Amino acid sequence: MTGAAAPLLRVEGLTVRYGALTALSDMSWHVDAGEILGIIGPNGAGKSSCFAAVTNAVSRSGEVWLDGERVTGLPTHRLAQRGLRRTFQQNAFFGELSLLENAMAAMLHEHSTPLGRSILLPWQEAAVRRRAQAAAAALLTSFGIAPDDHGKRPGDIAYGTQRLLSVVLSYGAGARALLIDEPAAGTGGGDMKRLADLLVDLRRRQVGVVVIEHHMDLIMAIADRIVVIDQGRKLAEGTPAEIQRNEAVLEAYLGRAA
Amino acid sequence: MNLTQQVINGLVLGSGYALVAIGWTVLLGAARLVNFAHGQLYMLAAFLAWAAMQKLGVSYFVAVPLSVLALGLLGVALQGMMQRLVMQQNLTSLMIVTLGFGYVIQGSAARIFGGDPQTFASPLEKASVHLGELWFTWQDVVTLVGTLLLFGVLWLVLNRTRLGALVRSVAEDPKLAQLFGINAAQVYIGVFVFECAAVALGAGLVAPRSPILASMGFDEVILTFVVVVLGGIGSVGGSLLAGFGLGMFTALFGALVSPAYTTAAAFLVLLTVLVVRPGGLAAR
Repeated sequence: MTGAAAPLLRVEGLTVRYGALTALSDMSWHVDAGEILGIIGPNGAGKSSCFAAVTNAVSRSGEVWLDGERVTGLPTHRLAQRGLRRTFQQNAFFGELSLLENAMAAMLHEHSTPLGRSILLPWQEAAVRRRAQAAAAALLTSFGIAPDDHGKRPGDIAYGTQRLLSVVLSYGAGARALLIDEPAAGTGGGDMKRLADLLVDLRRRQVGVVVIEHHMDLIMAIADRIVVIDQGRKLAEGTPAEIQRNEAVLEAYLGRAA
Repeated sequence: MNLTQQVINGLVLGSGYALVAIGWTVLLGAARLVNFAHGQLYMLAAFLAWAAMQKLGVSYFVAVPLSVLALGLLGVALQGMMQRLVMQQNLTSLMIVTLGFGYVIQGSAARIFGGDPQTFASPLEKASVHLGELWFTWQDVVTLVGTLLLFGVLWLVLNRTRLGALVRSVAEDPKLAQLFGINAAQVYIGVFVFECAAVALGAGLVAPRSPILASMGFDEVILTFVVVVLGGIGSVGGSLLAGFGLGMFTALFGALVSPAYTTAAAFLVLLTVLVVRPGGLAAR
């Protein structure tokens, strides 16, 4: 653990069982604000289960702390309101809403009137709505999604931009800790470069970023630390350079070839 | 047959169909949830308004809002019980659960209000307008205008406000909505309360047309199925169109062929439309 202050996000002993299968076993890691933690491992190693466990989307045992406060029992939407959010391997947006409406949905908690007031005092709703629209447009633009695209539905923009959009939406009005699941899946070249820039941009904004990624060149280039998961267990942890030299990791990835 | 009169009858019938169906349309569209207790909720709302007039002595204009409020509260309770099933989107169990609610409501209503038909009278029903050969009541006018207003407001809310975006986002993907910090459970409660309150309003305006019975639930809303599916599941505009279309069809079929076969004929139209346009009228 770095420094005296508690890490931004810490998970301790997370265990997930699906029936007889233990998908994740005694997983512990932490991430600081302004840090990128990479999570790598073979398919089925339990990486995505780990994200589901952190956001309380599956039943699990173990503990989660956010800003030094125990948040293990909070439901998914309360965690999101506190700034702990995630993306999925699939694109994570609403296909039937425009980009701008998607961004507004992502920032809803921060820019909203309570339900009762929006029905009884619709003019307040209108003013809040205008502010929310402006904030949503600013969010998209600040991450390089051109205003021309804001009125379109996600299905009508380029795939690479869709991947960016999923991450930008999860950041919303300013997430503190972001769990990003295979952002570069299905992309390459320039799109992957834009994604790498986006992740680095999030780190610059003091977000604690946890990234699951299969593209080793991407993860090795941007991660500050890496956790390797295999068969639900933590196999290794360290800087990219340390991981690349780690015997156990080489063995798990390449077999006993070395 | 006076064609203009039949067109008026069709509009009146159609606005009633659309009004009774709107709650279910929103429920299906926003929560992907069917509610087979819909008809019994309609029946209960009519009896509550009737009882308020009979026992409390309040006027029709107070009784209907009271029944809308009571059904809204009942909606909170029902949704509270179904919450875990709804969050899991366990649709098969939900179908059976709502069917169960329907029978419980029907049994309780028969126990409390008795098995005899009652007259739920609206003063507007007696106030009729005669224009030459044409004839309609103020109740018809209020139902028609009320339906158009409700649909207009609902369309605006769903499509032009953040509240609507919130409902649509939960409809599309409740899990993703939760990750955006949206309390999906609260949205589901809101939608279910709307469903219950809307069917109570529908009952308040439509039920005075005929005697009310504790066992009328299913029959009274059988055409709701047609309206909701014909309109395109969850489509507000589509169900308005389908409501009026069905009303017009019922009026003309009843006048030209026979009122006895209208329900069968309406379902025949539904089948035909679904064969040609499986997504309903609103499908792109």
